[in-house]
Amino acid sequence: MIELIKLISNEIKKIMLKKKLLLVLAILLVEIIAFAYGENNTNKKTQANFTKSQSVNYNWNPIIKQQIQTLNNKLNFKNLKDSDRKSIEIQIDQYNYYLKNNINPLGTSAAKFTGTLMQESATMLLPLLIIIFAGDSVSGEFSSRTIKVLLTRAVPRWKILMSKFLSIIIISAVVVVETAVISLIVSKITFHNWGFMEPLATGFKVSGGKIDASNIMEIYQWQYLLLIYSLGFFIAIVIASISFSISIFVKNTAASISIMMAALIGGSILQLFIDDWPFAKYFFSVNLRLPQYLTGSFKVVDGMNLTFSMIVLSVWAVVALIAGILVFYKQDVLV
Amino acid sequence: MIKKLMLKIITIVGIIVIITAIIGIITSIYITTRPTDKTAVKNKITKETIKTTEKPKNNVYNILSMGDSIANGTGDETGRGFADYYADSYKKDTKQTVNVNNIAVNGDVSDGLSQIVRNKETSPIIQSSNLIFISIGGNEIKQFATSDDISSLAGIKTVENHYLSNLGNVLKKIRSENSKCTIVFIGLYNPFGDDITQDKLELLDDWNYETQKLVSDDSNAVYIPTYDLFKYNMKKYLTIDNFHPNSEGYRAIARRIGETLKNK
Repeated sequence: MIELIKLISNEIKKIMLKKKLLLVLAILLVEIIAFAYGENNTNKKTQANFTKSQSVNYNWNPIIKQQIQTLNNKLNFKNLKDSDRKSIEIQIDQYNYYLKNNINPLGTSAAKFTGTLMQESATMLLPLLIIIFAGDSVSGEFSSRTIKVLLTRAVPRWKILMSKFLSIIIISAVVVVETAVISLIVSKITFHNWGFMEPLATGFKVSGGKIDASNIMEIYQWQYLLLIYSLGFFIAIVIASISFSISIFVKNTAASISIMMAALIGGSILQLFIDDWPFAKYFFSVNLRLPQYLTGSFKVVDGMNLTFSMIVLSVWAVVALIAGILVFYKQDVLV
Repeated sequence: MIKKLMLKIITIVGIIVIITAIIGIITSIYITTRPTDKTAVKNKITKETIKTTEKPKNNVYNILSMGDSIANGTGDETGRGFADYYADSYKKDTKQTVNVNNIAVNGDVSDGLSQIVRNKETSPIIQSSNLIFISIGGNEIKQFATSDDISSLAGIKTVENHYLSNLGNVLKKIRSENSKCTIVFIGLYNPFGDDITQDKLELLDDWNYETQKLVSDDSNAVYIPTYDLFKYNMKKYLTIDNFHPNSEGYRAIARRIGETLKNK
């Protein structure tokens, strides 16, 4: 056990030596500042437009009503896809709930921005950041020829793999926290208010291909943030496992990273066909959009819900890990 | 030393995140799968489409609104439209139950309307209606009002004739389904104010005039002009987009309809 802990701390030291955490920090900082600036700009423009044309004070109530009306009109179109129709219905439900309970969904706050950031980055940005660490975990040892040194120690191979994997999980946790912290700081500076105690509607269920909006519940933004970032961490673990195994198979960092990127991009393209090709929902990168199940703004596909997506992702992760361990055990290391 | 500290911080953060994440994931699954709570607030989707399919009865008064966004009530901050406002005022003077069906489609042109009227799903609604509101044509003439191309103005006669034949078919189809209902056609107003030239205003006048002539052929149909209604009230009656009426504007249209149908 102590041996394993030492190995893990050794692996973390290696990652820190490569200064990758700083790289990720820089990427996050640049992107989040850009997002926050954009969001703030759009928001100011909308408000200015509103006050100019209505010559009354900015008020969210009529805007939401108008929004509901537009969505209702959209429902009238005959050639609307079934999944789109359902997601519009959820949105209408959500707006109605906000109107009824006098919750302003349009305002900006640090908490809201941080939540949206994770929602949007769950499919691309976050996985890419994780791949930076996981993609070269094993293959990096091959390309820098250090694998020989590592394996000549009197430590079983599975322990080496285990320590590598666990260190990546810990680093993934750090990345997720880093994202949250940077986003909170940047957006607090941009929007000036925290908004942790603002209420928010969640709890949409899909049963039998239909939306069940009967048990919408109200939670606070900070609770919601915790939930969303937990799901983000789950996604990070899954991506780390798959990417880790691929780095064992191909022994080449560049190839392992590009395979993962191809899978991620392929997944987002597959998403478009999911209506006509239900089998696509078993592909892991189609299921990465976990936070959407909490926000309610999702494309409804038969049989896809949070539990389903998490099971699919877990199966992929476990199968990938087992395959990776088996290959690593059997292969001859000839570097 | 710093490295050791960093290592410790990273490990502690990692462990805290893992524990929090496990709790968070379990909560998320619970939220999305928990059994329906009967006491929770029920938010029913308010769909104003296709509800009544029964034949007209004496105690029910069915109003049907069809056509474009004006018939739909687009722009009304309260999400209603003139059909609903008219229904409100009608309710005051009657013991009947008043239903409003709205099958209008935003951005629709006369082609779309004549298709909708011919639709099998539409005919029971038409049959059960006592009063039918039609608003159409605004999207067809809009393109001429905003274009500066003189040659395109020549094409308006073809568009207008096409529109008139479509409208004629729509009215005929409605009459073949329902010979008793009252048909109310809402005329076009000029949303552009002084921004458009005189010759284009004449186009609009001509369009409205031809429409009125067509509608008047039916003995139980009436044309409601809105041009005069909006002329000096643009600021007050138009919504943010300066094209659709706002709640006030729709109320004004509804009042005018009410005045026309008062003693029917």
